Amino acid sequence: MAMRFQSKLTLVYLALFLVVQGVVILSINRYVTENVREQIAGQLDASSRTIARLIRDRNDILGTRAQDLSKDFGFRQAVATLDDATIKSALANLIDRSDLDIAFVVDLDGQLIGSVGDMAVTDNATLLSDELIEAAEEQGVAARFIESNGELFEVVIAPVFAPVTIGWVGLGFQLDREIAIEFKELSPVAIDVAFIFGDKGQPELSAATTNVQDLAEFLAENPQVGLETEYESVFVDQDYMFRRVPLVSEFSQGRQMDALVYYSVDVGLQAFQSLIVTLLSILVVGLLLLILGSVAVSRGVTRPLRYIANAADRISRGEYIKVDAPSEDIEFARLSNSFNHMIEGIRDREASIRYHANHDIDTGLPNRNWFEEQISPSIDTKKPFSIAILELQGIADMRTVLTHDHINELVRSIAERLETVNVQYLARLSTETFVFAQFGEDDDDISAAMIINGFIDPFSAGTVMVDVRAFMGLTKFPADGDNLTTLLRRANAALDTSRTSAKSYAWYDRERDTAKQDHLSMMSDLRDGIKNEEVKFAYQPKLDLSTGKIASAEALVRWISPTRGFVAPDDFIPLAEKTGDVRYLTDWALKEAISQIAKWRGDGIDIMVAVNLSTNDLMNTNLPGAVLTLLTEYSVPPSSLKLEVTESAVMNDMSRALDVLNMLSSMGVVLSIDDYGTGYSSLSYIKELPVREIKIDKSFILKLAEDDEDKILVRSTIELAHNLGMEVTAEGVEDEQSVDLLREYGCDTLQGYHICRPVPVEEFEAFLKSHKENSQNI
Amino acid sequence: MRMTLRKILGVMVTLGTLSSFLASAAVAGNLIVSVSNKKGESLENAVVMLTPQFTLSTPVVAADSPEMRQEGALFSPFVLPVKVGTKVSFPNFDEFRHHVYSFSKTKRFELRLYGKDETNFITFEKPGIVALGCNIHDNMLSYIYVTEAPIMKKTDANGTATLTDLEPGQYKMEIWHPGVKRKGMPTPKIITIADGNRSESGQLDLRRVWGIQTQPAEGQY
Repeated sequence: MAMRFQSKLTLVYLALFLVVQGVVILSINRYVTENVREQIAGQLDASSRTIARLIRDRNDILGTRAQDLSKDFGFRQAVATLDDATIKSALANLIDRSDLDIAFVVDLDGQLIGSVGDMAVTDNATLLSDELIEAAEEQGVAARFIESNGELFEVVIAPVFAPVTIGWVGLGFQLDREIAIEFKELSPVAIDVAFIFGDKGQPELSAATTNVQDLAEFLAENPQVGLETEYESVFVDQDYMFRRVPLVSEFSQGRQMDALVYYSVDVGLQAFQSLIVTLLSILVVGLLLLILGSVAVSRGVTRPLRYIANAADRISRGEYIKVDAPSEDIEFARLSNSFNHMIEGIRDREASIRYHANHDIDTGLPNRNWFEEQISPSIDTKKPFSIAILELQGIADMRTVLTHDHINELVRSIAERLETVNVQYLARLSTETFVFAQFGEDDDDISAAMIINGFIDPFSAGTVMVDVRAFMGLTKFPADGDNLTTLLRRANAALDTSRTSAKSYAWYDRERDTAKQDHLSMMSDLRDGIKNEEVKFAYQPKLDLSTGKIASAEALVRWISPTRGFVAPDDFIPLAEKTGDVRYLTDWALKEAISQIAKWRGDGIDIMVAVNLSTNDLMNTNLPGAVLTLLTEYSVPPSSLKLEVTESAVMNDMSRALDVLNMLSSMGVVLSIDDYGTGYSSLSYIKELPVREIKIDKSFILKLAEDDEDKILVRSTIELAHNLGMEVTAEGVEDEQSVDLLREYGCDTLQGYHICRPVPVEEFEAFLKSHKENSQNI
Repeated sequence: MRMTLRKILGVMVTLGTLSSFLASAAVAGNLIVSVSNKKGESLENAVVMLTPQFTLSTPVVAADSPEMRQEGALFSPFVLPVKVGTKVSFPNFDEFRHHVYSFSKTKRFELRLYGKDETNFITFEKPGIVALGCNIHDNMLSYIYVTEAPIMKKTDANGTATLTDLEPGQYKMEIWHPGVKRKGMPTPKIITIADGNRSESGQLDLRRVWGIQTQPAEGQY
């Protein structure tokens, strides 16, 4: 359980105090208790002795009285002469004087001569035993305790001499409550006294200073009291100590008669209760003082701790406020001192971290992070501004001639120059780009031009001066985006645009960007369209002039999208080539064409089908293998497949294209140069290619009848091609005159609307059929 | 009680044997009687009495005015056997007075406070024991044994009483001692005295405690 330090401290103090005080009180209590018990025990022993002594003294006194009486001449005479009246008066006189209960005289035969007092006792036969008389004969006087009907008496007898013994005079008193009280009063402590008797170990009560009934019940329940000399037990709900003082020879004939002395230990302890109460009071007061004191002390400790803790909380919130010593104690002074050192350390390190987080390590220029921090408030407050991304050209190339440090210096000097223009928050976005913002009403284009113009002069990089060219893309807030990410992305788009701009900078053009976006989605649709058979071939027949037959056809891609409708090949094929999606198209086209050839062959139609390859396809060295696999799969002879490539496609990477083309050619596939005349149109290198045919671009053919230049070009090209062993196909043949001219020039094959437009496969088959019939008719 | 009877029987048998022996003697005989207690210890101050069972040729003359002296706060003698009718004198040899008394039934008297060289006389007419005391000096005690027997003798310190010049014949022999139990008196026995010495012995059953005269405490009187 989490506990406050202060509480813990207090608890520890309290526990220690309680333990110490508890030990003290327990020790005192124990000492007092033992002491009291010892005192009581001692007191009881003393009282026992006192009572024994008192009884002995009483016996002596009684004995003396009896002897005095027995020696009185008149009394002797009265006894000797059996003068009853005199005897009785003498006895009565003695009783009165000596506070006795019984007095009697018997003759030597035990016959009562006279008596005064309790007749019940004096009549009792047990009054005078032979043993008592013998003792009296021997000692001149003898005393005995006797019991009669539950009452205890002490009897003393002495012989009556006249001058020889003629009888016995006896005196006695009862051991009653009166005597017990007398004994009690003679004791310095208010001990209690009782007289008990009975069979051994079964004491009965005769008299007591305390309540007789209580003690009788106690004796019945605790017969050991009659056996032990010392005994302790609970009596009337108090701890009592008992001492037994035998009055007669112990347990002779199985009987006993004792005085019982007892005292309450609890009563003895009462005297010390005030001491215990005082001690407890001290304990309670001490506890209160301790609680107050320890709270005060621990506050003295915890207050500075809380102070420091609050300071630590402030630090966690980034408030690096110096801490004053919370207390005059040296420890706290040192603690606060250390704390302040820590604050400084944290502040410095944070500044360093913050600097590194916001600055480019190489140049020390602010970075994108810093720029974001700076521009954020402006975005939040909707304050209009423009953002520019400026790209340095040729930095990567410079690394070959400039050292790393020089390049960093170059970048810094560019930044310095940029800052002379009205730019804000200039930051290095990447190795070759800066970003900055511009506020203000100045004409944006003038400002942008000024920045670009700043690059006219060379920059210093170490010891050399370097020319750097820059492009810049700009966006406007809030028009071009409501957040920095968007603004930067669009600035990059603008930067792309700027690279092809004469001004070397460009503003973000939403429409252009939208078209770009549309292109991307179009490619996605195209991929789906290929799968969904939205893309189909249209076949355009080619007329073989030498035979007048349709011996081949060009397969042209037609895409009818359910959402876009008819999409012109010029709209998506260049794009697909750019994005790389053209390979899906090629895969489809090859498979579709070859499978169609196989189908036609199965129908008895022997048509060579031409498929167009893109630049990417020519770079793909796996293409020949894929073509071969398909030909084999559909059992189509390679000679039934013609692949058309453009000059520009070949020229892009000629050696690699040659590898691919050579492999295809060696497989037996017919290769053709498409759109001949639009590129370099150099037959000298075309002759290096393993092509069977060239196709003269339709731009030369469409107006062949009217244009004499075209006539010369076409005618000479056909001748040259023929001379190089290649066949020639003319595209875009749209009128009869062109047909005649081309026939005249020796062109091998014709393709164009005049023969047939590209048609779906069913129409193509129908065309083939009708053309066959027509040609037969001719 | 059984023990006591046996002892008494023993005494009787012994006495019987003695009498037959004495009968054979002639002219005059002597009787030596040894008295002891039951422990066999010799008893002093035992009184041996003989009563002839015949008429003596020469009657015994009783001693005239025997003395019971008071001397040194003591009675002397301690035991004084006298014949019935004897007048006993009580001379005081002390510097101080005595108050001699007797509460005995045999003879009750009081000799109130008499001084030095004063002598009182008391005649004892009845047989029996007379215990004498002094009201002033509790230690003083003596016995006067009044008997009908004409011949009497106290045993000496050795417990022996020698009776001489006895006329032969039958005698009743009785023995008394102040300490004898009240009911322990031996039965009188008839013995025969003949010429020569004859010895008798007797045992008495004494009380454990019996009145004796003690010396006065030193310097007390």
